[in-house]
Amino acid sequence: MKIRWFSKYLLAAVVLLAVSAVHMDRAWADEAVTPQVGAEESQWSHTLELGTNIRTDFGVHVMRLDAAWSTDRVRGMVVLDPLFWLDGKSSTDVLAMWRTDGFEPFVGWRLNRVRLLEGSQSQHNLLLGTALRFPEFFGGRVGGQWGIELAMMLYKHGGGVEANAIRFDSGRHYIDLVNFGMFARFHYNLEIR
Amino acid sequence: MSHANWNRGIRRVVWMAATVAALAATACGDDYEPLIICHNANCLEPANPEDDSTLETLEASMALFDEERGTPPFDGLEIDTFWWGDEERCLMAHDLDHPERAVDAVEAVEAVHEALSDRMSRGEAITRSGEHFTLLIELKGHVEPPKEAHHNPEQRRQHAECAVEMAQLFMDGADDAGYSAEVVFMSFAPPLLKALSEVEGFDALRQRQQGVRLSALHGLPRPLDIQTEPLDAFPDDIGIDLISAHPHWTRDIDIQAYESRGFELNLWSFNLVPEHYDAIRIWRPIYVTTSQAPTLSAWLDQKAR
Repeated sequence: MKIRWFSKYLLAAVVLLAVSAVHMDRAWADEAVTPQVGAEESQWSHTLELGTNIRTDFGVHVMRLDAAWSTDRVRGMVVLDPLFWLDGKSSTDVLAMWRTDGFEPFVGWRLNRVRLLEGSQSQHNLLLGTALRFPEFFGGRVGGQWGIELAMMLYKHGGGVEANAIRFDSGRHYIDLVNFGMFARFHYNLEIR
Repeated sequence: MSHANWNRGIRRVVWMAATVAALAATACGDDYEPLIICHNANCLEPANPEDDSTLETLEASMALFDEERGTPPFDGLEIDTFWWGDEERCLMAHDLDHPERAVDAVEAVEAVHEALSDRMSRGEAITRSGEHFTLLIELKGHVEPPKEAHHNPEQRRQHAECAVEMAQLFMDGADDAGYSAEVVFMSFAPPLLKALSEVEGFDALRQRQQGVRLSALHGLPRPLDIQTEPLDAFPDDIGIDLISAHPHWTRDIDIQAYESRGFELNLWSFNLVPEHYDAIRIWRPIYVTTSQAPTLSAWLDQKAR
């Protein structure tokens, strides 16, 4: 239970930090970097985001690191798993998000790698979901999202076992392969000129 | 560097070392391994539920053997049983869509015993763990294809007697062949477990060898699956000591509820995904019932390295 409890406390700590930052943001606002485009808004036209992707659900490690490139309309993101050394399991995501005023629906692909005796098994997942944008702090330098996702395992292969693809003949064929999860993401924005 | 900065630096290093040590401690393995049960008498890969609970797949699954580790990839096998109301027969089947194709449940027990006896005669291990072989008998809660068609009291008694007869046959065979055996009865339906406990011969079964266990069964929650009953529907006076649950639909609060009832855990699923590996690692079930026994066995082996 240690990792799950740790992850919950970590998530709670991050949320508390975010709330604290609201207050700090007021004090820092005057010193914040002024955006080059749309000075009254806290977004730039092109942004490189470096962030952490946190969750408590099973299936993906509690914390992963991500990098994203975003415009006013879209965000492309890669999520990498630095905790693969804990248990030989890793999850790598590639996501495309559509940015609206609040919600950000996304579609993506997740590669899970699970170490078995004869190498690792690769599991390819379709990701569908939506994220809710958190307020931005420090003049737009720090932002975040809370999201829900559906991960559907489409095909798995390797590791010395037979390849297997999802089928929808009956509930028994896909009940294990369709999963839901929640995540929180916090990122630091770098303006791209 | 000032004294204050030096102290601050040391404190940071100590905190970092403690964090790394804590992470390493959670990552380190131990001797824990669940017993693997072959789900629906079918653990041929790739997993294909269409072939569940047939005599052919049961025999092929019982023939699985991991030459490298010198054991089968599992510790037991599940047989689904139906009381087919129309013909008053006790069947091995996963559903009643084609009951005419199903074999009598007793035939399935005979096939399991025959495979184990052959293995004993060759001097081979009969289980992955080296412990007893577990026969998991599920009593399905309906007597016609619709899940709402529940047993009447007489059908319930007949189904329970069939299950006890299967267990007696299996344990008698184990005694004769000299292998260690255990039986787990499992059902979504509390009345069926209650009926089991009232069958003559059930108490005697519980005294034999590894004994007999009773398991409540949970699947998808209502209304997704009307078979799943609330935990308090399972009586506490008949000796239920196990809960079989699906990892996707189980939360920490469920685990705490199971523990409060004194239930040990059996996680069931068909097709292994990372969520299942995490659930096994965190919740440490005593059994894992899976359609991918060879894959789970390989994962446990590499984890133990």
